[in-house]
Amino acid sequence: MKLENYNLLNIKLKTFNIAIILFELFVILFMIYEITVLDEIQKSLAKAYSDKFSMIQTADKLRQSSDDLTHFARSYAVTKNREFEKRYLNTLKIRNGKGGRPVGYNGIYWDLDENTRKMKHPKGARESLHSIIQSLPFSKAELEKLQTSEDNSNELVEIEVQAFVAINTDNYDLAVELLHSQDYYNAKHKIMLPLDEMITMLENRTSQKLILLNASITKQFQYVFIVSLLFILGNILIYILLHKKINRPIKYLTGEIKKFQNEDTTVLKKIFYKDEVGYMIEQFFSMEDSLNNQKSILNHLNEHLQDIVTEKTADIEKQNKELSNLMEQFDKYIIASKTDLDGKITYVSEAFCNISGFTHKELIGQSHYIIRHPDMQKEVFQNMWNTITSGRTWKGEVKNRKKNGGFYWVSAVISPEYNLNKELIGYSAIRNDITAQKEVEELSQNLEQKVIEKTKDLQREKKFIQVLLDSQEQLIITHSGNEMLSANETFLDFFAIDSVENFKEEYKSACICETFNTNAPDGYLQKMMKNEEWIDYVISRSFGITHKVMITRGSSDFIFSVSGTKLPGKDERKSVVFTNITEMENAKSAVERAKLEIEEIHARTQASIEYAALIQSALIPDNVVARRYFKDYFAIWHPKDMVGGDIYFFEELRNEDECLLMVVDCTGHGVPGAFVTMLVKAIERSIVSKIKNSDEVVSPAKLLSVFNSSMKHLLKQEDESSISNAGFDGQIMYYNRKENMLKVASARNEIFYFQNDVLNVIKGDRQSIGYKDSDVNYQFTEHTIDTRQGTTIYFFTDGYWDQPGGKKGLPFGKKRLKTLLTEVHKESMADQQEEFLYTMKDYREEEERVDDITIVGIKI
Amino acid sequence: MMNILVVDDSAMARKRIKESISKLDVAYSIVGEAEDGLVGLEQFNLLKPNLILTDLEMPNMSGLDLIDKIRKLDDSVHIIVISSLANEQVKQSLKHDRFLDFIKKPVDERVLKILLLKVEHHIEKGVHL
Repeated sequence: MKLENYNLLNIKLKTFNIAIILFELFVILFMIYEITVLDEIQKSLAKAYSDKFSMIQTADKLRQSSDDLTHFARSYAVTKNREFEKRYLNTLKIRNGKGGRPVGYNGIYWDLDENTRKMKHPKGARESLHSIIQSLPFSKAELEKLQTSEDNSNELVEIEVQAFVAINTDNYDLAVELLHSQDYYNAKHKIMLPLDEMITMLENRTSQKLILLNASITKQFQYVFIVSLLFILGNILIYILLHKKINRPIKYLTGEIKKFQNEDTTVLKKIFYKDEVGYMIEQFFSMEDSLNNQKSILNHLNEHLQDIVTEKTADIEKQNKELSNLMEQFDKYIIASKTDLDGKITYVSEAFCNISGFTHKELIGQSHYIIRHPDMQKEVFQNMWNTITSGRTWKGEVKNRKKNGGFYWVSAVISPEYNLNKELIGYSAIRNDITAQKEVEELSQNLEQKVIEKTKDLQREKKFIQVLLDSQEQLIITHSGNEMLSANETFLDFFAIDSVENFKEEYKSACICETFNTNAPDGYLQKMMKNEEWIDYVISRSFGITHKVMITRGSSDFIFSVSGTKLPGKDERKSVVFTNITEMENAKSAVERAKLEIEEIHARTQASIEYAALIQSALIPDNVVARRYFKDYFAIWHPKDMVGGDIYFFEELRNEDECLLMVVDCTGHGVPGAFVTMLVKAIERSIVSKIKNSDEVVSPAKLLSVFNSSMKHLLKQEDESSISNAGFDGQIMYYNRKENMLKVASARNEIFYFQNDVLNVIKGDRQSIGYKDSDVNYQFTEHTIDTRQGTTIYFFTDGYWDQPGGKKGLPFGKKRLKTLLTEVHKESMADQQEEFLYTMKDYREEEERVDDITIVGIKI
Repeated sequence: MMNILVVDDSAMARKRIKESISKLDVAYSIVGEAEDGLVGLEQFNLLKPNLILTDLEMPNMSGLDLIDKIRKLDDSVHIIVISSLANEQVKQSLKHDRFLDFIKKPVDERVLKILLLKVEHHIEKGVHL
């Protein structure tokens, strides 16, 4: 029992659901079946009743017609009325099916008067009683009784016929006597007795059938009751199982999830049954475990995030600088190129141009075929294309054509190039110049051949070879096994010896490998390389690999690139060439040092610029002072870089009613621009001090002219030969509070002001301050504005309307600026400042800033 | 939960900061606003916020004066200066303050978010980095 219970609870919910559905379906189907069966029984019962009724009625018809006949015969005999004779014959006709049977004949008929009879009971079909009996489901025994009764009726009819004969012969007494005789009664008895017996039989038979039918109904009802009971018990069982399998685990799991959300760690792990809910709970716990793990990892990461961000930003900046330096060096020293997928050149390094003799312009867009040398076998390129198009890197040695028809050998590494989406976009190649090496290699290969060819004049040949070898800059030796056979003059010179024998004595070895520097860094040749003698190692890896060896002589390290080849002939001789690449290697480390120096210089420059920014900040006026003069005021000064070529000045003049504002946009931006701002500041200081010491009326237009001549003088721009061409555009405003008067003048840049909500634009004079070509005698235009009616005035540098942005990258423009001014000019200056800044930010989006921006707004 | 006080003389700027912060999906709430340093100081004493976002150039009491006054009361409440003032001198004078950061207007929301996360981290952990 215990085990069964356990099994039932472990059933999968899916299986369990199917079982429930099958069970419910079984009950429903059974009920439908029962309804059909009961309906059938009901129909049989109704038919049995109706049959019984019809049969008894028919038996009664037999009795009735017999009684009618007796009645009419007797009445005829007594009354001699022929009407009764007619009725008697009619009754006989109807009984035998020779006359139509009136409708409702077995009810009240003959006792009604003739008219009513005809009206209420019209004649129906002819139907003999005999045929009616045959059509009903009488049993054989019953039919026999009926037949007996019918047969016996002939006797009675015989008597009645005798009586009718007597009437017709006027012997009425005989007729009456015959119809009331003992014989007549006996005959009547013979008819009625089987009829009576038949009715009793019929009663018995039909009653039995009815009892059977009723019993079967009772039985079906019992079935229904039992199945209903099963249905109720089954559903109770289902409820209990579902409660245990689903409700309880879910309630438990909900509790655990709430605990988890509240970070309550008192977990009580409980697995219920091996069904889907059990699996779900298991999954929850494993999820909870992994979430807890992740959470602790996240917490840990969070704690370090800020540090990492700062560190990474610094790191990335440093790497960027290094990268750009490296790229420069790379371009200079590495023979590199890139092509698109069709082999069209998209990039070549400076080194590439130098070696090939083509210019940058001649190469870009051309096919790489341009440098292909006719000596190169097609198969090599075939092999290269097959390798790189299949996404692998190709290495090999290639002979290339120079522009002047010459050639050079390179050891090339070509690899496919991918973009960020990992799509193949082209190929890049990096090469090493191995022309010299190649020449010697080829030479070595041909050496032996030449010796054989020239055996006729061995002496001359030897001399020739010696000359040939000595003409090289390389160290060349021949080797047999581990023993050195011969060496060229350069080799002897390098080791400061007379002969190979001398070398063997001095280094106590027959092999040059004894002189290899065993402390050289990785990548340098050693005596043994991967279980191979160095010489065999070099020869077996001749293709595309540069071998380097370090040899220490005296106090200096020399670096050689090494290549070797087997000489033809049976004696297994090999020749090796050492090319001195010490200078090249040293140049590489010189590049590294130069990079460090550049970084240091950059850092120093950065510090200087920061200091310069600090100095320039000191020139910016304190806005608190300016604010005292006006109803409302704002100033934006945003240099593009740390320092800028924009500047603005605000000066209090001779009394508390007079002030001067100047907005200046000097040549360029960044450090050069900043230098010019310093100069302008110096001139401005001297001009302001002059004004303070005089009673003259201040005129902005005249001030601009003074600036112009001072700039030209200070920068020595007065004659044509001057190389300085600096200057500025800008606006000057003089305000007198007492007189409600504003005077402005402008070099180049517009001045915008509002009075009574109407925008007025003052165009700047088409003349800059300073610069070589400006007119020293130029008269600037002065504009006077009456401020009694309230005025809002703005001064911009062109950095604002020249800034590109928007979808098409077009400048912001003055039209847009006028619209913006019209929209915002009534707001507070603090709010307007926000609007100017954010409108520009939204317009610029990701575009780079192009110039310094200065805006001053004043409400009077 | 971070309680923030916003001080800026531009209503537009205060609205913009509120919008920016409400866009971040963290539990920050702006408990107070002030249109100058004077009101800002009152609000600070009243509300005791965890973080103050302040402009520099304001009437009545400037941002620099407000920072000075607050630092006399509380040397470790976080302050983020949000200003359009590109004055290197001012920035240098604020550099030594370990619980103060500077954001230039117009505000880059990415920068604002990183700084808010940093401040939140400090407050939650109670660590003074």
